[in-house]
Amino acid sequence: MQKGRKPPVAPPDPALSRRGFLKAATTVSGLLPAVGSVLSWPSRSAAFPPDPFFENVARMVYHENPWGPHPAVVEELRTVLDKGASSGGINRFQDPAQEDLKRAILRYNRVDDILGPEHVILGVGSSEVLFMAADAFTSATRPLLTEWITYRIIIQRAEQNKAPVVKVPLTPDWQTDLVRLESEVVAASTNGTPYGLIHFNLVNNPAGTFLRKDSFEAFARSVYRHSPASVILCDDSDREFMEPDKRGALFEPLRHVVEGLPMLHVQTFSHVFGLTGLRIGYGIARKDIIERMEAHKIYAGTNAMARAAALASLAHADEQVQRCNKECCASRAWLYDRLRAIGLEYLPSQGHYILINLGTMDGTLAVLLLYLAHKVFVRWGSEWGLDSWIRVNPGTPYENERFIAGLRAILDRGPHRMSWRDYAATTEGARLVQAAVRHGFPRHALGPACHSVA
Amino acid sequence: MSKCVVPEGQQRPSDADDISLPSPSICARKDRRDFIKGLASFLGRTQATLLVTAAAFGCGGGQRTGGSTSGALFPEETGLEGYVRLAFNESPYGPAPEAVAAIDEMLSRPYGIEAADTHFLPGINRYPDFLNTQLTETLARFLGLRAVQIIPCCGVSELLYMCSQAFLGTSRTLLMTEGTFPLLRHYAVQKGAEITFVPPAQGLLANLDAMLEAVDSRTGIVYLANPDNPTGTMHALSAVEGFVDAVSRKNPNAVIVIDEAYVDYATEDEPPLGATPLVWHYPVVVGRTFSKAYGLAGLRAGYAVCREDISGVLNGFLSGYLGGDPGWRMFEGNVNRIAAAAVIGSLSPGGQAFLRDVRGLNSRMRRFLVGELLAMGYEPLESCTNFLLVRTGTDGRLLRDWLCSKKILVQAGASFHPRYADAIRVSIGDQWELERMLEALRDFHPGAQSPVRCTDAFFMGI
Repeated sequence: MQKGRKPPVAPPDPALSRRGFLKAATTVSGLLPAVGSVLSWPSRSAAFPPDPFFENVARMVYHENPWGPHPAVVEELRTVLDKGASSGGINRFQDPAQEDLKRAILRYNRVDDILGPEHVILGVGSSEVLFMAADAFTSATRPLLTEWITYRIIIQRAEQNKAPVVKVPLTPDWQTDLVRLESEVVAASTNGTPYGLIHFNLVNNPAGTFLRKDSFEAFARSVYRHSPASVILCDDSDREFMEPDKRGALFEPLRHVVEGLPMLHVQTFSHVFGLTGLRIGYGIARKDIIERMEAHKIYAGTNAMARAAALASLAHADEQVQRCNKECCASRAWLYDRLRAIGLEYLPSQGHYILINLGTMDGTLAVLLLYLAHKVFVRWGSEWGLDSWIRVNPGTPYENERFIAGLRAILDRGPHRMSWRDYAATTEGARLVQAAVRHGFPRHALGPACHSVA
Repeated sequence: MSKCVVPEGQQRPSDADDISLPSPSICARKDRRDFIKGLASFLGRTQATLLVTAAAFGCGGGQRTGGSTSGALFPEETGLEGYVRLAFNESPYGPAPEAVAAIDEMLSRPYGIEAADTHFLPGINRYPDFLNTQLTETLARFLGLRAVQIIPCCGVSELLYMCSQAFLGTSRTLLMTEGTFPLLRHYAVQKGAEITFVPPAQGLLANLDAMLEAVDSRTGIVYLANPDNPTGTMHALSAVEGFVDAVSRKNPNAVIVIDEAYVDYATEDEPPLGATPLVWHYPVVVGRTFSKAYGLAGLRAGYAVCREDISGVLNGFLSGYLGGDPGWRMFEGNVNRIAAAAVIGSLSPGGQAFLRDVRGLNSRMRRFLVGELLAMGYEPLESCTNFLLVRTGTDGRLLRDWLCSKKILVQAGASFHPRYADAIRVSIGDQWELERMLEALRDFHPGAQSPVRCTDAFFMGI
């Protein structure tokens, strides 16, 4: 047994709470500040202290599902919890292979008669699947081809891998520019530097337009012909939120996977299934593609709760998809109506997000004001270079009401025609930035302005 | 890690190796029993029935509706009731009630705001706190460190993964004890890094002097599991400090990864500082997990403690990291919401009291098990963890397989290194589990044949 050891004197740390130090000072045995602050927790609930500001912040920013998972899923999670310390409890390691879950995924996608568990890779969220794809298929000599605007994280991961990234802009009507993309693929292949990975969203995030069967089919076939070493990645996060009459026109990547073509179909449990916090997603592809990605995988990342929740979600998939689709379509329609009434331009979307053009007001400024004054949290368009735009994830009726009310209020008040950078440089602006950061507003959204915050 | 262990280039395993049962993934679309029969005839064995039995054990579980095809790891699901799991060093006592309550509270949160008076805190349908601030700060307060020195990760697996990505490469080597916990070795091989193995010293302690000698200018990581898995031995912290000091003088660029997965069993300190004070002054990464004494193996929660400059580098290799703003630690969170809630509950005073109880029970059961094994003529190595490496005087794999046929799961020492070929590693379960194990063990005699054969990979080598 190890005897207690005093650590070397640590440099003073402003992050240690004052309460911790006082407690230590009054503790008779002179225990460490850390022990002092542990002893000062009055109860379990205080171990998870609610931030008074965060209470009742309507989160319409991170593309989460406000309608939640299917009730049977939470039932299942409580069952796992009740198992306590027995064989199936959370104190037991999971089998990394997770074959039954993979089979259930294939069954849900109606390809279980053709594909097997070796065609499925699980990730800690579909984010990990995207990262594994970037790690496996992009490098300094194997560029990434994607469009702009799109879901960004794969671009950032490819850049981290020192891969060149080529972004083809959307057409003026926000559609995928397949003509330009095809010519890029052919040119790169001819030059002897074929793309390692070609990335798409089936439903573009944040634009809300989608890949159509016929045109994308032709594009993909051309890619396979001209650039056989490339892998096409189709990130399928929002198909369940499409208007029912549009669903039929959506491209189906699995048809190509089943044919043994180099197509990687990525799906997630984070959106329609509402398991965002449990971190589970997957990719379906040809066996060799899966194997190459497995080499970049964290061993045994899937947790017991995510597994149980995913299985339960798939068992009740139809009900869940129907419910969330109905809610999302109604929510979007309501918002379109109110946005039209205000007179704001927006992009009609097939996904669980709507891009809104504020016109004269800076998007980041609007986000900040909505956050502080109206406790509604939406997304800043500057992330995609759309400085006067915001992106909102349609929410519950109450959340939508609060969002629209807040939007009206800030548009009335202004300031208008002032860039975020300039506003943050004013006294009022700087004070607002400080307040936001103090209340947990993510610094990276504030850009360089936040570095001046003490 | 779930693939069969037949080394590349070898078409047939030698007689000394296991018969490698095809991994479940190979069996995927074929009828398993036919495959096994085919394999039996290929290997020229006549005991087809034995292999079929093994197949039923290893691969056949999926025949049941909704059952796991992954075999005995989920005995309830495969219908193989009553398997005693003493192979994975899990805690039989489960998580603290505070952790369970915290998870329950997380599951009760509303999904969205339906009305003005909704008490809203983000639940399982919301991304984890991207910066994991609460978790990091709780751990920092708990250990008397700064938040910037702590990186929560998805179990030890992610910790070792990011260390291998950050500090190993074709010109940066890994130095480790022969036969110690193999996961970092696995990642090193994937990274194409050379590995230098140093045999353990007398008494199976890591040979710190020899390791220091083996450090050279190309060393990227020096890996020390302290307490060690599978031996259960541990160096005193004064020895570790001396070692770390000497290594960093010899090669200031080498990072010393000290894997303290079992430290909670080895020390009664509260908080369990272990080697963490070293991070103030040395390039040390201390790895911790909540999978063992805290009983949260299924949730995937652990953390790394290191100096600020090193944490800056490691952050770049987290599964969820994206480059950019320095405050941008991770994207979308790698430690899931439920794990974070459970950890915070476990770190509360009640959770720590529970840990004390677990430690006490473990010590009692360890004493009990050691006594019984000695009485039976076996040689358990002195251990400060929740497992024992037991020299058996017979083939450890055979004994493992034999016990498996009696529904007791233990690890074979050979899956770590041939020097442990005559040993098994037994997790210290609760009273009932150990009595079952001992009961089965009493029936074993040298010369007994096992009716099943298992692969090392099946037992995951953890």
